[in-house]
Amino acid sequence: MQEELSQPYDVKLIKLSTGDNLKLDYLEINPMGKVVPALKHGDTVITEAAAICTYLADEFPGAKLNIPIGTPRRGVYLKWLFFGPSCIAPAVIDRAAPRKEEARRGMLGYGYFEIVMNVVAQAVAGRG
Amino acid sequence: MAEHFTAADVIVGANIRWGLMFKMIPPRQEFIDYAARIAARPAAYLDFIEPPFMADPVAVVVRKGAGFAYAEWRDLKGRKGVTNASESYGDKFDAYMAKELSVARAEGVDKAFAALLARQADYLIIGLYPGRDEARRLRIAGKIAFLPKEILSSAMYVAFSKKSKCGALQAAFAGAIKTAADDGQVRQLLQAANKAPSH
Repeated sequence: MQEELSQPYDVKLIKLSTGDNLKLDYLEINPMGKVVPALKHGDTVITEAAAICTYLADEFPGAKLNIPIGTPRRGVYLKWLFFGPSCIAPAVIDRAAPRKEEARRGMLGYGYFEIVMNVVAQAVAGRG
Repeated sequence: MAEHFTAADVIVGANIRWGLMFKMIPPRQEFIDYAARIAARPAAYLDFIEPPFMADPVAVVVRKGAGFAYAEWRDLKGRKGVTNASESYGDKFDAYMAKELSVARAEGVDKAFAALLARQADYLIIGLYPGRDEARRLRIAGKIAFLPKEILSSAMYVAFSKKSKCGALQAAFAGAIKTAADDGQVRQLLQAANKAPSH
């Protein structure tokens, strides 16, 4: 995202193999201790990839990576921004590491893996 | 998403490229075409160099003297395993591990090795090369053994940053990588690194 914005930034790496993401220093930034990135911009700290991308796209409108408020396409844009962490990632991870007991149909927030794949395929091909 | 690149493509593009690379989503033509478009964007950040320069095997580690015959995944059934919490070994083995095996997740490599040595697990799953290096770092190399048959193996690539001033050298670099992989230089370097003390 930073590369698309062409804004200067610093990267601080977290070493997962030694559990740096669970140490106090990092937990103060992101109490979830997750692998997802954390962003500090001025006095603002943001975690969660979709929130970071939404924030940056709105904060730097010159890069034209957002659909501004008041534009009809803003709704569809927000849907796809949050579709990744809400539907694609959980569907893919659930399939890779299946539960010992299968969840009841309709219980999962993303719905069904095959439908998620079909919907995304249509969208990225410009048909959705 | 197709006509105007937005922040949504940064998110979905990362999901699709990552999913294809780790074979966690079906290789549908729509995804392959989209991934190629994303790869050309600054967001992709890296250009991967073909061919892969080495294999990255995933190994089964046991306490020295407590090995067992391992030839295929099902030989791990009925034993207690451990692996690092943040590791994934591809969709097939991850799925097999979740469904058929009893593998605990330790918070970090140190704790995973500690569980093995404390007999809380019969085996540890870890990448062969990082596993050897971590064992030397922890000074436990003499207490463990890597079983000869690997669980699986993935291709490893060198990548150039799109910002690299050396981008024009990619084709020549790819040729040199191929030569080094084909004539055994990479294998020799790995063997030498395996004998060197940990740093």
